[in-house]
Amino acid sequence: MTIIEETASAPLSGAGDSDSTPLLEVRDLHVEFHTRDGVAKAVNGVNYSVGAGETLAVLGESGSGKSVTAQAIMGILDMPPGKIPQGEILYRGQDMLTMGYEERRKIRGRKIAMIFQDALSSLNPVLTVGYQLGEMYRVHLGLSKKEAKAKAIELMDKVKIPAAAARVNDYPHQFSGGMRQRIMIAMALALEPDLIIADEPTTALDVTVQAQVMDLLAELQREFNMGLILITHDLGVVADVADKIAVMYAGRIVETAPVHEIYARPAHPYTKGLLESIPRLDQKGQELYAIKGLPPNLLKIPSGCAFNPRCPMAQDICRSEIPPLVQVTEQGGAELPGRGSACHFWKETIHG
Amino acid sequence: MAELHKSDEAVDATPNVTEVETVDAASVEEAVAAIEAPVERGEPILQVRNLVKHFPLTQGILFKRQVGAVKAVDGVSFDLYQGETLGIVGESGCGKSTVARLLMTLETATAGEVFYKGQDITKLSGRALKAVRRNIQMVFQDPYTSLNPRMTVGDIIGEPFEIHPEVAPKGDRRRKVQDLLDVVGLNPEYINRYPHQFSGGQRQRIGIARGLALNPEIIICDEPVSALDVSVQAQVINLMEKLQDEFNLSYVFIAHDLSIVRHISDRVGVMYLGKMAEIGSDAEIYEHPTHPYTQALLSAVPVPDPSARDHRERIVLTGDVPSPANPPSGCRFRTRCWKAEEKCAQEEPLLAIPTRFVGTDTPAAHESACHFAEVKDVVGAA
Repeated sequence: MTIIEETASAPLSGAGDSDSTPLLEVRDLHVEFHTRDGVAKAVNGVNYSVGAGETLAVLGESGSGKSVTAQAIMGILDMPPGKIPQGEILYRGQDMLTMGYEERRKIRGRKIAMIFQDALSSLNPVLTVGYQLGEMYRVHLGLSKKEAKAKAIELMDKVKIPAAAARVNDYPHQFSGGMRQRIMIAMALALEPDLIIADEPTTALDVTVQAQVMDLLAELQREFNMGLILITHDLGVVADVADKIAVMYAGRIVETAPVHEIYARPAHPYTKGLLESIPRLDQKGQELYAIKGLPPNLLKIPSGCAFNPRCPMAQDICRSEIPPLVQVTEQGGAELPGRGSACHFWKETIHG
Repeated sequence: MAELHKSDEAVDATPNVTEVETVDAASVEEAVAAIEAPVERGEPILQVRNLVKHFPLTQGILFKRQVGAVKAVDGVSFDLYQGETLGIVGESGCGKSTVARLLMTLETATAGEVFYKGQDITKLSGRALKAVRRNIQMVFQDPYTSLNPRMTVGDIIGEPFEIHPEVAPKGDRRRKVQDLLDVVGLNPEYINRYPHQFSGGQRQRIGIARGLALNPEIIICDEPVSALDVSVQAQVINLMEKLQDEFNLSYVFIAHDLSIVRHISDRVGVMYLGKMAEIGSDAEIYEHPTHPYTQALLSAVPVPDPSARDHRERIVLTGDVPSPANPPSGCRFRTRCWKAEEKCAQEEPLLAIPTRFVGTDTPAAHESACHFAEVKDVVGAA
């Protein structure tokens, strides 16, 4: 039984990338928020890595720490009250947490870009869309206003906004939700970054528009061979686009797996519960499976495994010992590549 | 929970009295009696006919001129049967929430009728309207903003009794509220707590308890689970199904999550730009959709099964929903439809069983508003 968290050589990287250093690697990251009511431990030792051209989906409910991890990677956490007591975020082997402010600024936006959930509140309502898109070129590349605007039109064309030249001087409120999200994607793509972090990019959109936006994102990812971290709570979206999945619960990764494996046989009771609570055709008229209880309060995370009060398999050991993320194996003992589970009873969950 | 069941005192009326003028006292009595009368299971309890709601667009400050109208709901008809769940799906801006507000008489309809047990509620007022409102309750989308943060849970759930004191006499209210908390799976001792002390799923339970307080017959649920976490959604859906059986409720369930709608609904209506595009039983809509919009909508739903990724056909619609202030002529979907022809621009398709399927026994024989309705196999929401 290998304990993945302690092996530094990143066995979690997907099958697709070579054995060289991954594009981005998060190692044992902790984030906490100091509030009046106490210390909220939002992220408690997260490890993951993404290679070029690869899509990692981070799946979790609100409060699981998935967005906070992304903000820590981007360096846009509010500190204070946020604090990173330990951990490393390696971009091509360099630790971004120890590098200087200016150095980090050069990576942010140019090498790693982010797409936010709510496009309307992420765009400045008093500046034209073209000005906001051109800002990337003006600030990072030092282009003139005129050149930047020409580039902005090019970008809008790329994300398939009709009549880009005519609409470049429009304001965000003049665009529909799907179009605004395209502008957010265009902005993230502006400098052809190596990695894009998309934080619930389609949650605010309708299904038909969601399909358009996800297709666009996948197409552009292929074109530029970008790494993508997709943060979401939608199991359907994940199944459509991800290569590998990390499931988060109460600030920890509870399961990692390649996408095809996790839906077929989850190795953690939480993942299993989530999958079973999706309404299925043959269960019509019956009661849906529901995970009992509520997500934990981050100010007082349960001792041992954080999922134990809601878990149908919980034993005494779950209340006292935190299960490490261990390598999942076949019944015969053969290692399943890329699979890990942080459950004392993963064998029973996956094979039983 | 016997005390929560309706006491059927009024029996001296037939359920399907047609339109009654509400001016003279006798007809008010008659209307109230009709509203109080029970409806058999499977009979229509709510009949919506050509419901229209236009919001005026005005220009000018002092002398406001009307320059147009947002046609939020533009001729919607459907029936809700006693004891069933009618799901209504559609994209944002299609008018589904406006329909909910019209059914609640929170908005006045521009035209059209809503018959509740034979009474047109758009024309009722006073005592008769109050009686209707008691029987049609609502559960709102956002449990964070639909509960007053300065009121305790007991006050929130008990407030309907202030308006309808006949349901619970004053001394009895606290016990009734505690019963309701118990029914929705909350600890009755939480009665003195405030909304901020509860999580999203618990707040939605409080909202449901408030909706149940007056023993309504119909509950209109406007996106009741979309603000909740995935693991909590299933709990709330299960609760709603349990309550439906227990109190014999009829639901109008408005949502955009197609797999949840399918799970809970007996019949489903698909709305597009203020009109009903297609309506039928859940199997008819999900397995044999005949309207191109329904087909596109179903094919766009991400399926939680990675093996389906490569070999399923996806209809990706181009463009956005047109503005409801200036909808396209003829069929409203024609601007995004791949089947659109000259006829679609000129002639508005009516919501009816397509002529080619009339009289046939196929599941395709359900109402669909398309000139070229045909069955297309799409891998829909599982």
